[in-house]
Amino acid sequence: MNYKEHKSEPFWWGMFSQGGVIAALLIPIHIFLCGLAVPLGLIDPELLSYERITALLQNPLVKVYLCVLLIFPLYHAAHRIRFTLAEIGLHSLAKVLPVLCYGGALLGTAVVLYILWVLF
Amino acid sequence: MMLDSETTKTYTRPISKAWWLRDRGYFNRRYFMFLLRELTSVFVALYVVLFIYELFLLTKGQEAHAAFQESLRSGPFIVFFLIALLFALYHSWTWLGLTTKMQAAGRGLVKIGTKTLPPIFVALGSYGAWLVATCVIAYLFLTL
Repeated sequence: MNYKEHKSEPFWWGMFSQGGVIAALLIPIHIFLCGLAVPLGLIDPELLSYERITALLQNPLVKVYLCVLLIFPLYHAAHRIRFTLAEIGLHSLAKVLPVLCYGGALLGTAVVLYILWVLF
Repeated sequence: MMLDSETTKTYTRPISKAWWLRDRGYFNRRYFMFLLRELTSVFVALYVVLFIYELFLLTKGQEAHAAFQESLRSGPFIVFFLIALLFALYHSWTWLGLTTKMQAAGRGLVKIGTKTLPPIFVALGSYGAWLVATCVIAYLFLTL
């Protein structure tokens, strides 16, 4: 790898690490409940009804929780994808990949904040 | 890393782009599992993006939300969530398992007095935290 470490590098590593922990602890149960249990009819579909979710979203704690759940793992994924793409042969893009990956995570952050605090 | 092969003339062995499938003619399980581990992040990202899209649909009103919930019942989505769940579980398993290695390395993470706690207890602690977090979310989701 022929790139110099940017001074923001520790920040991205930190976010990678935080996101890794949050994804490890929280993502599997969310996938199971919302992606499998409700669609397969294992639990009451009303749990994901419009009325219930919009009511839950009135609670600021729920919004903060969703921010943590959605934002940190984006940085985790961005970091891993950045290095993995370089490792499977895109060395030539080593300078562009961080911009694309972390840029995507930053964009995702803005979208989450906008949806939760402006649209709701 | 600041390896400058131009000035130091270090020999770098040419590596095939499919090194994780075949390295010098052999399948290397460690390389393959490493790539699978990294690949978990793609599924985490896909799930998060889908989640954000669902939140966005909620702002579009009840019908948009209901229509998407209905499409989540289709085969392709179920298969996707099943695969995503397996990758997410593999991420949790490997990530939380890292605490064992951190505990075993150097002076360790968790000490009691001057004694370093055996790594297995640190692993049990982090897997325990995962179990607790899972139960709490499931409980809140079902009862709030």
